Amino acid sequence: MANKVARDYTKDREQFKTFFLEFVAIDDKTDIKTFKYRQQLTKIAHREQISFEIDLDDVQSFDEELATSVANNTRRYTNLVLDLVQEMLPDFKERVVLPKDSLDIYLEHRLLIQARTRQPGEAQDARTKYAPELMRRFEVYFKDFSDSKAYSVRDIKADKIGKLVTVRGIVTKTTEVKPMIVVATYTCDECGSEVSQPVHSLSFMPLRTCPSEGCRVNKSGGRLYLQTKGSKFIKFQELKLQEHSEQVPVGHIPRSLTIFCRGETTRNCLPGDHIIVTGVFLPFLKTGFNARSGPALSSETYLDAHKIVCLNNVDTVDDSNAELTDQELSLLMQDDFYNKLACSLAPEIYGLEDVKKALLLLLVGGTDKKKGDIKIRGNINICLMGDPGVAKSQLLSYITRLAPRSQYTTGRGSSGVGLTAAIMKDPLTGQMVLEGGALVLADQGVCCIDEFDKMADADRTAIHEVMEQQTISIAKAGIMARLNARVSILAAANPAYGRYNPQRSVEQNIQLPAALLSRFDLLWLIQDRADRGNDLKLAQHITYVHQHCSQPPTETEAIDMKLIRKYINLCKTKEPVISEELTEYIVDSYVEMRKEARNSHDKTFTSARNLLAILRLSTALARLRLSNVVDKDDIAEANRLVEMSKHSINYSEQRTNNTQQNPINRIFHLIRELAGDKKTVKVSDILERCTSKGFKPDPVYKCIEEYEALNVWQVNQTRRLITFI
Amino acid sequence: MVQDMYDPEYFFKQYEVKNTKTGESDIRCGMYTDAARCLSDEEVFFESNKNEHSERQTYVVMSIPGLNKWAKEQSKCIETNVQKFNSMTHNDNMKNKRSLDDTDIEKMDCSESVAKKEKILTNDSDMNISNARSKVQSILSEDHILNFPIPIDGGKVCIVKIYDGTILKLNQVIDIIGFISLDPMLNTINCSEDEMNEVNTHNPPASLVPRLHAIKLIALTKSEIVNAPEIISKAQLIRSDLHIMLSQLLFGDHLAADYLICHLLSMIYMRRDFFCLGAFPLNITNFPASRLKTFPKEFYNFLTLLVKKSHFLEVTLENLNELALIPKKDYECNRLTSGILQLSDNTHLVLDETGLSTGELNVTGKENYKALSDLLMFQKLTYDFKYYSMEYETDIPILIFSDVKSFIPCPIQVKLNIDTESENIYSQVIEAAYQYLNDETRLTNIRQYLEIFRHTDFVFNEEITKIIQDDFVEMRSVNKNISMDNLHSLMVFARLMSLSYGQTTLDIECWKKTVQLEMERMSRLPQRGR
Repeated sequence: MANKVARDYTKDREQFKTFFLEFVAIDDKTDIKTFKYRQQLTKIAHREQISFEIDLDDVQSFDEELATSVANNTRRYTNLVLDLVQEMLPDFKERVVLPKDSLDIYLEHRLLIQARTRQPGEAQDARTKYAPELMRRFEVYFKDFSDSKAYSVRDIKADKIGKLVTVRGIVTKTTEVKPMIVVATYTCDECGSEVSQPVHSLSFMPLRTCPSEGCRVNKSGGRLYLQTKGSKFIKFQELKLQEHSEQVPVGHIPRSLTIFCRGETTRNCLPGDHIIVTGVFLPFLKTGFNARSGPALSSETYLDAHKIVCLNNVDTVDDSNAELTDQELSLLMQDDFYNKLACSLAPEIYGLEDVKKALLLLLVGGTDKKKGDIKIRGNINICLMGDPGVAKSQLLSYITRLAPRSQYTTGRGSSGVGLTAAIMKDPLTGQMVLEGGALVLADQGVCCIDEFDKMADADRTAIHEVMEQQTISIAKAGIMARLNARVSILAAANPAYGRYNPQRSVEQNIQLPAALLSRFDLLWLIQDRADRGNDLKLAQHITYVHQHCSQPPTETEAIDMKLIRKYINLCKTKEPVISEELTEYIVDSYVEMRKEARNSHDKTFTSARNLLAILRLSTALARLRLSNVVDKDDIAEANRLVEMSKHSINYSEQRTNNTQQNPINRIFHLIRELAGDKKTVKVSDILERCTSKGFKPDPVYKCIEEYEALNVWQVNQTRRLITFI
Repeated sequence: MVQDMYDPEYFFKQYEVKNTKTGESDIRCGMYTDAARCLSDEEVFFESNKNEHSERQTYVVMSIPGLNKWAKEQSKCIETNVQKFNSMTHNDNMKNKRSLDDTDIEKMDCSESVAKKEKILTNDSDMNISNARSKVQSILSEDHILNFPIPIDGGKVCIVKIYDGTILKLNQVIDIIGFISLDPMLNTINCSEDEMNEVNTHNPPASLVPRLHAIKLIALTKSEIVNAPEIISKAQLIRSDLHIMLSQLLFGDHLAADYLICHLLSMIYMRRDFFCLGAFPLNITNFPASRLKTFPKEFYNFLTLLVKKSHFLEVTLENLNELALIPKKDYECNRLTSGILQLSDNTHLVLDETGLSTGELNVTGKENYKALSDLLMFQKLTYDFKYYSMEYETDIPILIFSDVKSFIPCPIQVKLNIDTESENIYSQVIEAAYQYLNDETRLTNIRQYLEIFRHTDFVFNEEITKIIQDDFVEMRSVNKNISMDNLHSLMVFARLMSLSYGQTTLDIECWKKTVQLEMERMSRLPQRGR
């Protein structure tokens, strides 16, 4: 787009000149002043550097207006700077540069010959005859303002034509790097003079007749022949950039953009790479429809690349890395944001607040501690158990979708190799190569494993190492390797016999070894309980949804997934520490927990791993508050979560007790009946009564023992009489 | 239906033409045309300041896949009416009727007389298209260019250029009014070897894929039915007609017929992430597959008479492993290669699992299976873009026929209760059903009934929600296996039931009936092992 007010380009040229000569960059840390562009120019003059990169930020600090006009009309300024630099270069030459390639030597020869044949009186610069492009051994690139937004392909519209834009996307196609002619040099077969023709577009019409003085005057009609040796070629590559899936509006097809890379920008990426390209958006005419139907009215567009930054998968820069706006922050900084965030996880699943909180902490993660060889993982592992149909899998798939890096597998569907890593023989070279499995691929992320209980034992052992050491060691086929697998594992398991049997221990129910179970920081038992109040709430919720086609307004509105992702990323930058004063509190609470576990019939394990779990959870909570110090409240909440998870397992039996399924309970009721108003009952009477009701003596004795332990009654020494207390 | 979207094009909105002889210049409009209009001694002055750039969107639009014969005929006769009044070209119409005939070299520009256009329109000469095609020297096969998800009889593809920035969604069904461009020069473009595929795919011969420069777009969400009030008043009657017929076809099973009517009426009315309400997928099992092998197909043929758009897919091991169900981006040609499941909303998909045998599923098979089950559960289809995948929302009612419970998880399974008598005389039953539908008004009534009630608004009253809540709590206390999903589907079912009776609110009677039907259906299923 041409500027409405014509700019004075000669003035701009002068401005640039002073800018190159005078611009001083100050290093933030060392305070050393450097002549940034002078140094570059010197290097270019000595052919040590090819690309001359101009940072628009620097230009802006020098002359703001100039910077904007460069960004709006980049092509023009590129040419301007090219000329300018070429003009300035000789001043920067400090020593003789040896010719590097054949073109140099060729030119050198031509210049020498010309100097020799020319009449001494003729003061003419030898280079004017040759196109300046032929002599140019550098390229000029502009770097966009550092605060400019990376657009998606969709945003690049006609109004961006001619401007410097930054686009983000995924490379879908790259051509081979081909030589492209920039300056074509011809020799005349009659007079031997050489003609050069600069080429600016993708195609060119070769010159046929010799324009030189001699041929023209003699009308000898000398033919020109293209000389590859004297022509200048540059590397050229064409890319196709496609929008990233997040940038595409619902129900649309991703758009793509053609990118032309020349010279130094080629060979920077491969198909499948995420890249950020800065370049000039330009149109070019279709070289097409044949003459009969007239020229085409539509034109193709392309982006002339100035800079390509390849984002590797680990630090994919996407919108989630963008700063949170104040409004979003204030939304998140409300008092109950912890509850609110938790509720926003899988909003379609009703209830399960504590489980959701735990999952939120899993996403945020605790801090890794590393001191020498001792490494303590910060990732939180959670195992969800429960009856079929309690939305375990839905929770898992939601987390997979939410977490920026995640893998979802099912226990049965993945072998140990599939989870960890496999050694493969490369079909081309025959070399042994390592191929990462799900756990390796989810490094620094979440690995969700559904149907954890159905996994073969051999495969499960592969997970042991991952869960504590966070690495995978391989010693196979001559390859010894240790791969990082810093993952949080979120597992879901069904009870062994269809329904969770509260009479059995956790291991029996899930059929997983204690060694593995203890590696989970939290074990949740989700049970589907028929409870009038809950059911009614659930029913109200569902009917409301159907009635009004929206979520009930009374509930906190679910936060957008993108926002949660952003916030979690922000949280992860914090590294909270636990202050000295709190250690005692933690120790006390742990000792208390151990004591309780010993006294009550605990079906879970309370071990030193629980202490670590509490530490991890509390650091995750501190992160969630964006705090650098762990609070006492954090520890209290972590304790509460651990307690709740234990509670979900230990008190699962309540339900069945009430329904009197349990023989011991029924025996107890029989005894109560038998006793009536009396305080004492004979054991022989009890046995008689119970056998008549179909109970064997064993459970009866067991019942007597159990209730004795509960201090409901006392049994005399001969164990023949029981006395109610 | 919008099948694919290309990148936007930049073109001259207006351009200056210079006459090389006289030196006169003229400004012309570049809208609604592919090539510049200049005479032999004129040329476009590209550097002119008067030239204006603009952007237009390019969409690939094709005949609606799975559109049944009667619906095609119907749209045809509507369109002839349209022509009479405004002599505009109609998209569907163009696909159905318009062909190149002898106008192969004729340019269609804005200056063409209305009468001439009429002539082309009314020239219904489908056979001529083959001539036209043979003339075109194309490297790519016709199938490749047309790129239909499922074979469409007489289906056409057309590239539509939109100027006013209207945003269309993928798989949307639209009517387009615009100028057609059949310039045979459109596909002759010079290009380098390695871009051959892409350029050829994007510039197919105009005879096969005409260009249409849209001036008006009409989104087709629901079709207007003239005598809607009449149908609504007769809803009960029509329903009982339909019910009698379907129950007979389903071996005298009244319950299954009720479910099927609801299935035919289902449409998604609320959606949020992975949660959608209104879908009513159905799995019909336990029919005598060994005796009546063709039952699913026969039944499908019958459905095609009732619903506008449908597709029958045999799920066999080979099909799963070989068919391309999922649309896939082809970077070689830079377009979206359609898959069978790329269907527009409300296309009834009928799956027949009876031919499924045991064997190994390959990678494609697994993906296809996942696509089918995701489609059924979430009404979402994941398109393959090679470097990533994208989810598109769909609204495709699915009906599965299988011997036993389908291998695709389906929440609603109806086990048929077969009346042996009707099984024995099944061929007569079918014949009778066709006879029954021979009554033209009855058939159109049923069609309109399905169309109207699918789009009717529905409200749940406060009182009934109270009753539903209490009933749910009651059910939960009796049977613990009932979860919130059951309530969701029960409410969808109740909604569809009352709609099918022509009511726009749910009353107690209908709710009770729904619950009773659901209970009966559940009782037929084998109980979960406890």
